[in-house]
Amino acid sequence: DGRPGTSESGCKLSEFPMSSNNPSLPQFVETCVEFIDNEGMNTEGIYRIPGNKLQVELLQGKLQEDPSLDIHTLDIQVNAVATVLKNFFNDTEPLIPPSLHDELLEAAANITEPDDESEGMPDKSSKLLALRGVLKKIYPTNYEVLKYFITHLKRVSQHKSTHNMNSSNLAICLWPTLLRIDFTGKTYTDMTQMTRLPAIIVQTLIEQCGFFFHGEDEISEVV
Amino acid sequence: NHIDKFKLSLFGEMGVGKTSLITRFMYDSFDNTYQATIGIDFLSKTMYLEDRTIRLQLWDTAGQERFRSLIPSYIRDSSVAVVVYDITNANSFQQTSKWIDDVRTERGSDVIIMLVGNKTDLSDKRQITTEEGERKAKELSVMFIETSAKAGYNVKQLFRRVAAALPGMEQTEPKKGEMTEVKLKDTGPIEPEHKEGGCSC
Repeated sequence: DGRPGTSESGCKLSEFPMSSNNPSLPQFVETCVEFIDNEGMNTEGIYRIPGNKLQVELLQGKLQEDPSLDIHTLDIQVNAVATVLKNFFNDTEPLIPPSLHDELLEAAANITEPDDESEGMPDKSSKLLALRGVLKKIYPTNYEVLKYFITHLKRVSQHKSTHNMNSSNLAICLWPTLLRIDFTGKTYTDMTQMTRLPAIIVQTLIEQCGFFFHGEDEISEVV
Repeated sequence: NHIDKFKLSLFGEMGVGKTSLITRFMYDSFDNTYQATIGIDFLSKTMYLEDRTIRLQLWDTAGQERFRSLIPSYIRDSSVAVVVYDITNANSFQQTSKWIDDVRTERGSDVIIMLVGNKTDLSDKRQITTEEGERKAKELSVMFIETSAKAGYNVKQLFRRVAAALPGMEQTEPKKGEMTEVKLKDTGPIEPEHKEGGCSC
């Protein structure tokens, strides 16, 4: 059906038609993100409130035919575009490979520990550096897509006063998409313990986006 | 002084007000902070009914799609499933059929299901009429109520009606320390049996 080949864990990102602006960025992702950047900043609960099912199915079909489609030509609400993008990431290979989950969770656990001031103990900066080190292990295409998407989420979070989606809310609604932790055979009791750290990882990525992805200094106090 | 314990689980799309309904019921308050729920959490509340005292364990779930696969283990020992939609969001109403299906698949008729249309305070944005809600509830043989967690409208009634439909004390003694297993013959509300002198008020 013309769709990129699938592996056990979904289509490989590198097999999608790429954007002319960025050879590592699937056009599908760019089209959705640009629309949400333009239209979604005043929509309460963007990335939280799911889109209308019929609109989601319609847009999914259209974008598979033509990923550079101008979404404005369809009568589609921005929530549906956000859902389509979430579905895209849920259906393709995981952006962050599962083989890195343990290292990431460990790095995140260290970040949540209060700083030990005694000599030789890692401070906040070196903990963030450790997390950045793990991120660098992600293969190039996935890393580029993650960088692009997190940078978009950072922009979204800056409009929190209009749509109420601060970095914490975005992280809660998007970590299951970004960190596809396998819950097979897990109970809700397991889950209560498995949800906090992944959300912290995604929230930290959004808040410290400049530090993780753009070579900037860390932000010491997040407002 | 035996108190029957019942587990009640809330389901529904993200942002329909599941946590707000619990907060209104537990603390009679409304938190204006817009805050998505992380994972799964539970709170307990003792309810003093006319003829007995019960303890309701309220399980709040995050509405994320990816948690849907957990419903079977989640609903297995629940006596009540409260399925919530937002009356200003037609999509959240359509999705309730799926949540109710999921619950029925796991529990058949051994569970009380309440369909809840929340956010009646936003009447100018209403997309789903009360009649549409009632009709769906009738078609699916579930209970129905409209609420506003923000305004405090009908929230107590929601939990009172659910509690009244729970099986009464004539049921077999539950094993100590375990959840009461509920076997309902039908899904309609069960009239609480009036006991002579059972009320001390």
